[in-house]
Amino acid sequence: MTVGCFVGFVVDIDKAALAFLSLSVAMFFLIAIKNFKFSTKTKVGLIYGHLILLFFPFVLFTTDFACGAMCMSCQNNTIALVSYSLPTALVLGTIAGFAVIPAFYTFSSRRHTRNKEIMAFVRKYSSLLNIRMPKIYIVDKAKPIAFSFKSFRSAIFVSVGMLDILSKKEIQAVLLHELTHIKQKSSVLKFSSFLMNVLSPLSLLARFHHDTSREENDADEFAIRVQRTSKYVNSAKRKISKVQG
Amino acid sequence: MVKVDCIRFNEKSVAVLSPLENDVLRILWKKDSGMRVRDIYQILKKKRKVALTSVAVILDRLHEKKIVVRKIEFGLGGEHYIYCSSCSKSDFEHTVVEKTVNRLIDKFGPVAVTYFNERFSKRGKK
Repeated sequence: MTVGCFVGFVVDIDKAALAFLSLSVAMFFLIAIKNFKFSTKTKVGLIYGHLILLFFPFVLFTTDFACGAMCMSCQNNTIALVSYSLPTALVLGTIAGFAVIPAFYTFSSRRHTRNKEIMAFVRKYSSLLNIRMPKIYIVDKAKPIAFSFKSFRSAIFVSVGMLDILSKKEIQAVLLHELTHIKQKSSVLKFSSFLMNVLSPLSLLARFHHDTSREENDADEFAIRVQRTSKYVNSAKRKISKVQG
Repeated sequence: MVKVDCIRFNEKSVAVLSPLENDVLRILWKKDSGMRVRDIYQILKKKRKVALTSVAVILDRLHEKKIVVRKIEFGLGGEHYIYCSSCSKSDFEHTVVEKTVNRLIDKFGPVAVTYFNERFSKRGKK
């Protein structure tokens, strides 16, 4: 039955053309991200556009199948079919990226830092960078890790292992680094690129790989500028790489 | 249950832990209330050349082996781990001997049992 439906879907010129157009534009978005320099916002927009357009033919097919199974008129009406499919594809593409994963991390490490010095430091430099003060979460891990999310509410996650081995100035260097990432919205871009690499077979075809080294350098440079020395950034990096092996 | 995966037999000694693991554990056995990574490092660096990061790695490894337990505490400098040994020195040694003997019996069966019988009866006569 499914095979019959698929054949019927492909033979219908309107639906097949829509699916082909959708995949072509998805491929065009991917090539544009790879070859042109865009702002982070535009890049993220193009990535989600790519994912939505990639999901669209599959959602179109399943909606067509459901319309047929329920003897609804939408099976023969392409405009109705698109109006049902597009929102579903849109929801699938965006919810996964912006809501689920950051919410999962926030929920799994519910411990906020009680360190007033760290909070005051982050508050001071958040206002300097003109960003809303992120929440600071403590992750129960001995491996030294720190990362940040820019979602509905931005957050910085620091492991206990990191606080154990770094000095006060080195921790401040890490926090400045993460604050810059929040300012750059690089977590959204990083995560979106990862999502695309995982979900989109076209990204493999185009050998898409998002280079994060520029953002990392910018984040380091901000920390060095504030601390007026590269000593703490370098020693923090050295310690982290030593523990991570 | 403490995980003891590897027992090394040298000419002079029997080692279950690496030298650094051994030193860290000796320090923890002396203190019941638990210690921070930095406290252990401060004691250890007087005896041998060691980095703070190495002590942190060793403690995490001992935690994975369930030889030490840890909890997050808030103190000077923010949140940090407090490490305690999960068992006393004699309990740890008991576990090592128990596991070693059990493995020998599992592997060699009657041969190992006969050997232990002979060995204990010789000891009894002495």
